[in-house]
Amino acid sequence: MKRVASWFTFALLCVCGSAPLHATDWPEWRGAGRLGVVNESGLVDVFPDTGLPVAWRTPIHSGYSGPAVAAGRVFITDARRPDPRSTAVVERALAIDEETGALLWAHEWETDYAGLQLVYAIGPRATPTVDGDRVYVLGAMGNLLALAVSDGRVLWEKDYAADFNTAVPSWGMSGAPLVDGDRLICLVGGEPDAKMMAFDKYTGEEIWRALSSDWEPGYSQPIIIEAGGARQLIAWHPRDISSLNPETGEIYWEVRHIVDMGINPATAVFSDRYLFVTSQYGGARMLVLDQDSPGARVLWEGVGESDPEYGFDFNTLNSVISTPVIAGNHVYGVDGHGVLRCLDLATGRRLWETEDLIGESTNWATAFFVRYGDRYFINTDTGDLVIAELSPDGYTEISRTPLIEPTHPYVRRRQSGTAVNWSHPAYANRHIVARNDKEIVRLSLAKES
Amino acid sequence: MVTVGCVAVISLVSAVSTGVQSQERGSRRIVVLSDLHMGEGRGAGGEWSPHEDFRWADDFHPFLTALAAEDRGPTDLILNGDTFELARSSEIACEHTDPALGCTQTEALARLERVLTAHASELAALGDFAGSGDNRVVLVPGEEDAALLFPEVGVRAVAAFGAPPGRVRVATDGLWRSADGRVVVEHGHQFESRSDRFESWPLPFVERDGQRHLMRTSGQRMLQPLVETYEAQFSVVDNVADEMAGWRFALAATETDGLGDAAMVILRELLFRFSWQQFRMDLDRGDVKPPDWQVAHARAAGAEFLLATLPDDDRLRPLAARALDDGRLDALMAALSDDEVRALCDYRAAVRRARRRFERILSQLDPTGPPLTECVRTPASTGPTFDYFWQSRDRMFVRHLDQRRDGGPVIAVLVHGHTHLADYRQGNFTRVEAGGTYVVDGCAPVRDAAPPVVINGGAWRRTATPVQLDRFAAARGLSDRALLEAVRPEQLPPCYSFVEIAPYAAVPGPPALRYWREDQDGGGMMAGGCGRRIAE
Repeated sequence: MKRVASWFTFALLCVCGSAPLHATDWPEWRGAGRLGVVNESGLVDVFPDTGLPVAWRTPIHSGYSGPAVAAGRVFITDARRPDPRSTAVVERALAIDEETGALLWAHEWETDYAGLQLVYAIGPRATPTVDGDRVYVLGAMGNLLALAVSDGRVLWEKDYAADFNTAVPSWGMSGAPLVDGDRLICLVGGEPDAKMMAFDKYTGEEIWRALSSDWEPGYSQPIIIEAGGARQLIAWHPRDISSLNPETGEIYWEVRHIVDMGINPATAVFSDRYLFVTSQYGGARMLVLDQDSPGARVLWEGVGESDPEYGFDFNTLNSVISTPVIAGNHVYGVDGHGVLRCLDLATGRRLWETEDLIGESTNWATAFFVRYGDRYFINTDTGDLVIAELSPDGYTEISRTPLIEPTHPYVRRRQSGTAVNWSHPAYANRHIVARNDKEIVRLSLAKES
Repeated sequence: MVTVGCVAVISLVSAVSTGVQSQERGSRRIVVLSDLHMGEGRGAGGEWSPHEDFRWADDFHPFLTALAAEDRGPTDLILNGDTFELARSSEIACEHTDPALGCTQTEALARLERVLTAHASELAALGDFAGSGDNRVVLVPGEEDAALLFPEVGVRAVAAFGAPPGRVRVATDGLWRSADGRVVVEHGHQFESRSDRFESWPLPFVERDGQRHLMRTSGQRMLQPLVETYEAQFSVVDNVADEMAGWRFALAATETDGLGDAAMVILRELLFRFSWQQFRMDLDRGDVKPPDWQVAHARAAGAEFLLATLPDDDRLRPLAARALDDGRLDALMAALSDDEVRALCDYRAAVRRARRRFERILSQLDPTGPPLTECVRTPASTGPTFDYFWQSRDRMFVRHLDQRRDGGPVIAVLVHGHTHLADYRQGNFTRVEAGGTYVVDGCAPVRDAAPPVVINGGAWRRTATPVQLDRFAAARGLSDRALLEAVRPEQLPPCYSFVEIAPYAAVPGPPALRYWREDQDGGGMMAGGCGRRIAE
């Protein structure tokens, strides 16, 4: 491993020091709390006809990971193959100046993507997690690094495969580290019984481990919620939806929910008492959480596409990558074929569906939703950014603009082309930061610009 | 991109003709229906014969009407084997001193007449379809209706459709081939290692004492009595997909023992049928490599190797365990070729991975069940990159297609049936263009090759998978026996699979797996999937 830092960056940091975290930062997957909400005002109501103003563009290498924004920096991970004929890769973590796009530091490490489904083996999946003066990054093969925000120094690191005997699943390690107090909670998939692990976020020392790895770890992001008088770590993996005590790893409750092929990239969403998960091949589950103590029951379920009884009769919402939204008494989301749907929260009954968002029904199409007031920013995998209203009455598209060129590999035919963009952008400080396999770009969302 | 080769067009000389269709190249729609299994119909008392698997005339008529109404041009409707159930009968025994001898032509005609009478309305509807526009209907024989290859039986069957001359025929080559040779449709019983494979296809006859008999395959000789016993007890047993899964249920339900040599035939059939299923749904062009199994290590385990190939919860395992105990597995193990040992190792690895990843639809096994252990690999092929576990299946198809091609044009699509289990999500069989044209799924024995598409169209009949049956049983606390006794074919999801290939100019497009199914109002509709449960 080697660290690449610019002298200029180092000097700049010496002068400026470490910037504080702002309320309008985007420090982790789906923003603060993993909620998918923009907590600032003054953003555009409609996009300019000429497109969003570009603050800067900075070249990077390939990857699916989204950017995190904190402390005046944009953090991103990427990868390159020195020899295209080899599976050996160099992964990197980058810090970029939020205002200028200048590279502040880069830290890189070598790994090998052998064993991943190679067409998708283009780079890291997990969004960096920023916590104070530390940023945690995860490579596709399970290299977990705690780096100094200031200069990219390695504070501590783990190798899931070497340290915990993790069998990396076909589409790579994807669980972005989750900070909870002094703990860094990670989807490790280790053995024995180390599917979920908590480390001391300062030292990397193991605090607890939980859940068997007799089955694959999956690709979903853990979240922490408050329900039943307790803080609950929700670990949704291909065998169960598990609720753990985030401090100890003790299992509060589990609901069996098989996700065929282990493909569950979407994140569980929680609202009021309702916890919802969806996957293309395993289907959907709406849970109601107990109010008095940690516990849950299934309110309704929809079968997945791998179920022999799958069909439109029982098909509720089977998203492949897209994380859905709970708003009021309704659920909105993009199913695994790119169709935007609205479900009744209480029953799972489908109220409407439309292909207008993606523009076609095609396998594994996806979009990412971020709530802004009573509207949503939605970036589609066709590279568009959309402002829309979602209601039980239907989908109302207010504005649409090109966001970023889709460059991620896609193995099926699409009307929109042969590539997609499957990276979640960051919304921070009245800007959106998006990446593809060539560049990371910051565009202004400010109303006045 | 593969190129279109020369086509040899052989003229039709009669209603019973060769397998090459005279047609304008690539201009016709191809629709393939497999395994209708029209049988004896109802008895004198109005009850269904236990051997009757086609009880769906009320669904079949509107299906044909809807198919015609789609107006997608002249259609070649291929009835891909086992259209008629002629291998068993409650009235005409076809029993001869030599168990290898099946029906004579006279006996087969008698069986056929009973079937034609029972299904006159369906045949008339097919005849109407054949007579409409420039449509044609082709009967491809399977192992159950191989008697269609008797000239008089074929002529009689064709006549029963009542279609204009030349519109209905029997594919006497034993398969159907499009005019350009790029699409081949065959039933599937002639694939390697099938116990119901005829040695001299498409002439499955033997002369004895001046009489021509249909031959009985080894599978028919060994298994037919058991089939008839099971069907008499459990009418749903032949409606489980794949069909061998129905055997597993029946074996468990009856706690069958004392099968003698039949046990070995069953074991062999079941072991290899499963190993060739598609234990995968890879999304790419196959960036994986085949593992290299240590065959000698597997052989050193002796017959235990076979038992270890079955998961603990496999309904076949008790039978295999008993066969192991009394030494009957030894001969089966000794008879396996190295390629067959590798195929079983592929299967073990595929089951292991499938269960770690909950690949229910691919394995048709309880996804939460115990995993298998892998065979030992050579050191050079360890690691997750070497997970091309369907190599044996692909290689088998390559050998088969090479034989079928026989110097002709490269076969682009092979449609088969026989197992009653349609391939999974073939509707997404999409060509990909990234430096070349190729097909995502199907037969891809060589990395980055331009492979043909091999598609199992399932059966135009009601079926249920083991997962559905297990779910039904679990919800009601039923044993295997109680389950098979409780479920009638009429309770199965009203959903029927078929394959369609759209008219093409030069190269066949990807075949679509389609379904005719009950809609939400109780009518019928074309659909991309089934989505119905076993009814009460």
